[in-house]
Amino acid sequence: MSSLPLRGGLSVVGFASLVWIGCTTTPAPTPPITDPSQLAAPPQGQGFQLKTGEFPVAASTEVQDCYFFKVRDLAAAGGLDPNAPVELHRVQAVQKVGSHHMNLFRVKTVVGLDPNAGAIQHGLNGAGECFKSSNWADWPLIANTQTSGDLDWTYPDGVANEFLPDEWIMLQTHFVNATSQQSPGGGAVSINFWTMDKSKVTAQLGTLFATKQSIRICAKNPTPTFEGSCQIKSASPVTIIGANAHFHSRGKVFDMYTWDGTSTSTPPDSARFYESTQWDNPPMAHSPALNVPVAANGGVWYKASYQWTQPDPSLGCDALNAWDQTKYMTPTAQQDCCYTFGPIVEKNEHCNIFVYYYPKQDNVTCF
Amino acid sequence: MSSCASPSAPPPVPDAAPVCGVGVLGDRTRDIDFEFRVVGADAIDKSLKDGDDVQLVFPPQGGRVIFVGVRATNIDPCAVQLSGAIRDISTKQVRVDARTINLNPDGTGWGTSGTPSQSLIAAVSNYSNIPLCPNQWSATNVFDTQYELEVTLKEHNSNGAKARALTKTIHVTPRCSEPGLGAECRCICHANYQLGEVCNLDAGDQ
Repeated sequence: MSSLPLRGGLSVVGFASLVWIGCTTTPAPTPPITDPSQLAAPPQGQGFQLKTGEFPVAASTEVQDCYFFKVRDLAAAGGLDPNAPVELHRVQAVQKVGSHHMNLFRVKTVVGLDPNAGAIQHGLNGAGECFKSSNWADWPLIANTQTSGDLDWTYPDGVANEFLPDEWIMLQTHFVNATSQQSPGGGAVSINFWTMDKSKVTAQLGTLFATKQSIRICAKNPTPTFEGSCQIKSASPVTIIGANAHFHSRGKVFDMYTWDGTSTSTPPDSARFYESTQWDNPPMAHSPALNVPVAANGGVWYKASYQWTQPDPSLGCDALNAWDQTKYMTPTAQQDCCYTFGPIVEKNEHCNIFVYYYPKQDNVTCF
Repeated sequence: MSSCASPSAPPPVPDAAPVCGVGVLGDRTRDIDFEFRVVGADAIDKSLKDGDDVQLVFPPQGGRVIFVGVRATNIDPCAVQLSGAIRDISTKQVRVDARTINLNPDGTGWGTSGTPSQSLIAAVSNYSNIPLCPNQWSATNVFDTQYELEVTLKEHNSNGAKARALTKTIHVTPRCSEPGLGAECRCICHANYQLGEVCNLDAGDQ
């Protein structure tokens, strides 16, 4: 095994080629790997592995760290040509139990979160650039998992997500060790990228990420629903093959529907392709089970419903109102113990969707 | 089309009648009625009529939106669903935002999205945040072009009956009139804008 050390404890790992001798009997199903340290890297020439190493998550804290990897370094560690594009065809991710989420992004416009500022950028309890979602507003999502922490997804034949050698990839881990979620064993994430031959690629994978930031879940408006849409501008139909949604503990139902791009009301149930009722472990729907055509110039309609609850006694409404006043300049008379958009699980809410489709299109807008 | 990938039980959202501390506005035995309202960068709630201009506003979430609300009567003001949509008249493509709000009584049997004193950043959650820019969707410049504005107001259906609702449509013309932000607005709202396109902010402002 070869290992290419990077700054701050990150590593990318590649294994020497292995020879697999097949047998004629059907092997017993392999149980899913739940320990990141047990995830073997792809054989040399077939991909590479990204790892965070283990880190502590102290009680009553939320740790959100951003790890940066250069595609060229990853390719070299995996025995691939470091000067050639990487054609990602299969993603495996394993993270320690307790993770609130893991997002893997392709870095685009750099605002306050700069890969050149360090390979690991630490965030604690909402503070730090790794907590500010405006920093990755136009960074396409590559893969994500949530509390259950495992993913093994092979794209349909011929579909790949292409990365250029000088691109950066950002791995964001969010571990919570508080009232709503616990991470007593600390954090760790391992991810495998399995590649395919460029000559066999017939379609590029596209990803979309929507975040509705104008949400407000308040004591006197306790069961709000928010709806929005994303248009995939394409003269031909596209196919959705992956979906995941994210909200916090006030979230009750998160639905996604295919949308024709011209309707102004919630699409019928028959158009629904995703539903999550578990805020802390939302399903990651993906192909082959998820394989949904979207009409030309159509897209995705999303709808999230919430139930206001009393805040944790350690915070109380005072903490929520203080955030509302500081962040949103809400006058005292209009403060109503509201959970507003933000990264802190205990006092903020989210309304995010992640959708994967092919073939990739240049004009995708989400609101 | 395939069915839902997660065929779980129906949503466990409580269906009890919401209580927001405000009684029925007007006469609930009569049809719902509403007027269009809009709020601009000055955070002042104003009436919006067919043919009016509407300001494109730089919102906390980025891009440019128009904030559209209502002044309504003959309705239970708690947990009404406000849906706003802008339609490109030539292509029929729309941009939509929908949310649950409480209407604020104005003492005349009507209730509004806005309040007498409000900060823009706090007000946005009580208006439909209809996203118009960046303009990767409309066939023409978003600014200085007439669009169709459709608003639907739906009462909460706590008893399982079909919710009472009303939809109205008017025409409005979005303008890049927010002080100091006109050049950027005209850049990201022009026809065929591409995400990441560099805006020349020295091109002057209105």
